[in-house]
Amino acid sequence: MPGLAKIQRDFCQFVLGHGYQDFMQHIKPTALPQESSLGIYHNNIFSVHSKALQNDYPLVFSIMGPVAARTLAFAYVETSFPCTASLDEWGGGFSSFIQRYEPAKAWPCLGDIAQYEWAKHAAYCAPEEPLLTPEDMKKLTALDQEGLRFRFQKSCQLLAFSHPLEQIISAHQQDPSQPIAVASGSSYVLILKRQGIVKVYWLTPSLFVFVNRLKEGQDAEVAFAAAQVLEPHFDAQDAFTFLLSNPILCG
Amino acid sequence: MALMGFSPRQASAGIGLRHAHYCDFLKEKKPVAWLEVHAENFLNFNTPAFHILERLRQDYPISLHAVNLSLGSSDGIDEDHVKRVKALIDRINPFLVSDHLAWGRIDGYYLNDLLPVPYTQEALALFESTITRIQDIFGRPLLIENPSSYLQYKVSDMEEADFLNTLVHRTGSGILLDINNIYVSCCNQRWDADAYLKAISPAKVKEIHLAGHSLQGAIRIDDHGSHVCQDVWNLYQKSINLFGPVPTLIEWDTNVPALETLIAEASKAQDILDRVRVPSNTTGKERHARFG
Repeated sequence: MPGLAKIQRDFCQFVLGHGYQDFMQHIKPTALPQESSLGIYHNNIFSVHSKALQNDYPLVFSIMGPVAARTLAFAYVETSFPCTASLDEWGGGFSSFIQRYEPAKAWPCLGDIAQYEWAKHAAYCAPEEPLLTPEDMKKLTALDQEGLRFRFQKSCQLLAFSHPLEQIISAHQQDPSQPIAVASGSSYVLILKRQGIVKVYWLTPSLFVFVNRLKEGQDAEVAFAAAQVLEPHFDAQDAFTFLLSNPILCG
Repeated sequence: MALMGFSPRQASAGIGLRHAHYCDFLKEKKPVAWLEVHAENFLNFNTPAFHILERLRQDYPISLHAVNLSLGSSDGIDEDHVKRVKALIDRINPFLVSDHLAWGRIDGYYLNDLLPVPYTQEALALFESTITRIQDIFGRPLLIENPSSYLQYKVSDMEEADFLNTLVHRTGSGILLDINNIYVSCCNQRWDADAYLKAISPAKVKEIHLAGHSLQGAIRIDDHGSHVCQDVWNLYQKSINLFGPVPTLIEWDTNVPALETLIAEASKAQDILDRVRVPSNTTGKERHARFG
């Protein structure tokens, strides 16, 4: 008589599309058509994961359309069942899966868009801390300002892309029915959450470098020098105004 | 371990809180006796969803319905997950905590579905040890919900209702009786729904679920995507006659309608609850166990 573990492993293999016969040997024949009734479990499992991905990656699903997106999601689920009980914490590998998934190559920027959407999701899930204010900065002495380093909000995500995502996303949102012309160019984004709302800031390359260096723990002078390599007239005052007037730094 | 008693207010009809209705609830107090939430949607205390739940619990009693404790998994329990649910219980202080007579995890992977177990002595022993351990961690009893089923195992040697009764008596847990699941399973498996109800220990029924289902060919699918059908309302009436006024939840998870539709379904359940009388042959002890 098969034990519980054997039945459950065979069930899992059946769901993954292997070992139909192995699992069928455990099932009592009833009046129901067996293939249909077993198919309910298979469909439920794949659909629930596909819906979870759709919640986290609405743009990917919208760009691909429901049929192609569902096929992609099912392919991902087959290789990446969650090891966590919380579906909110699952799906982070979707963008790298998209990069490898041959049929998704028809949408060259899709992997970047998935990475952008997961960053928004990660920001949504992160804690919020008190902000650094201009008043805090005024309290610093000249000595304090030497080698000044900043602590970023835990929700803060900085990403660089090889596609102009801002224009691509904007074009898709204005008219989802139109195919996207993938222009050349890069894009840089800072994503964070404040008071429960996820905010997105598109950055210039030099501001991205400046903020990224600070986030990596380098001091302001080093970050400024790195930004100046890209943009000789980079204005540190403007950059600090941006950092302090938005909820980016921790107090 | 004694089950918590219920106030009369809690022995009434509530609804499942869904994302689509957060704004409605935040805007104004709604005529809803209590709310049920899926535990796994609120495990991260940093999310706006959790903050909304913290706010709503000030106005509505909350029942916590877990879907991934995977009580019947041969893997045993996922201690990390159980501890996270315990932390949520400590934050929310729900009046009920429940999960299913099902499994959904194997070899560390979560399938995120409520999968059927064979009703055998081996499965019974596993459920008993898992539920006992989880109740120890939670410091409170669980309610166990009967699943909807689309298959039966050859090795099963107990009826589902007997299995559930035996389990809750051995573990001190209670029953969350899903009337739609009984109806769906009985139609699909050609079981007798009245016999199922009569086999359930009345004193153990601490919550009832009602939901809609769909028909796909010959199979009824428990999809929680429509109104409760008349046959299920009739079965609910019979259940309330048997078990007394038990907190009753309207579940609606797919094609979620306007909140008013859910409130109207809950009102219908409330009317049935209000009409019921405690059965005259109920002993004082049983009456206390049922109604607190």
